[in-house]
Amino acid sequence: MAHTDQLDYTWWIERDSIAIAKFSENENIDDRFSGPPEGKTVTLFATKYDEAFIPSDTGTGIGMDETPAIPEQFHEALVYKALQKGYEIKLGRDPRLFNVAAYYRKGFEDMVKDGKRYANNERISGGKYHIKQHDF
Amino acid sequence: MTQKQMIELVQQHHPDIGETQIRLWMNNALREFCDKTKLLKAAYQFDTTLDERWYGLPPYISEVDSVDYDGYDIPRLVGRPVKRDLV
Repeated sequence: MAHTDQLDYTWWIERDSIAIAKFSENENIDDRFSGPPEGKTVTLFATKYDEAFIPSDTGTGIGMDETPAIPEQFHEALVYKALQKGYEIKLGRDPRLFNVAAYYRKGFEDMVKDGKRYANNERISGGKYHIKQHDF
Repeated sequence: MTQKQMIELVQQHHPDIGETQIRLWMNNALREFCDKTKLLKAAYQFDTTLDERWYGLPPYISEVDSVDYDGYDIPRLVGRPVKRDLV
């Protein structure tokens, strides 16, 4: 592949920001990172959070009659977590509710596991990989 | 399932807990779910400014997976620059 100037660039993350700079290994330590020039397009491929639930349908977020962006089969996970929290705050009055809270906690964690499996398929990202054996 | 349906389901078990509290729990759960599963992906673009190294990340991004600069995938720096600046 022909060398392009773009390949001299690098990125790193710090303090909720991303840094883009040209990396010149042979420069002295003060000038090793430079640039970037003006008007170059940077595209970030990222993992994101869903929008937040909001009380009405007017603002930015998930309104009362709207659904989260995560796939439908995982919506129940949010209900499980809220049920768990609801039972946890009642533990002081009735310690027997511990098992009920733990049941819903496990329900949430199981759905997280399924969600990870779903995210690891070919549709969402590069997905599964396997290690090929070689003869030496 | 809509937000309304979710709140109604929770209130079947906890009729004494208000919508605002349930919404707060569900928002925390949604953030935790997205953080742990990395299920939702997005692409975000911006243009560089001359000699400006740092660009703020939008709050909805939880993790940057890869970066294209001027149309090419560029590597992530391993470690930190020896000499840092805030430009």
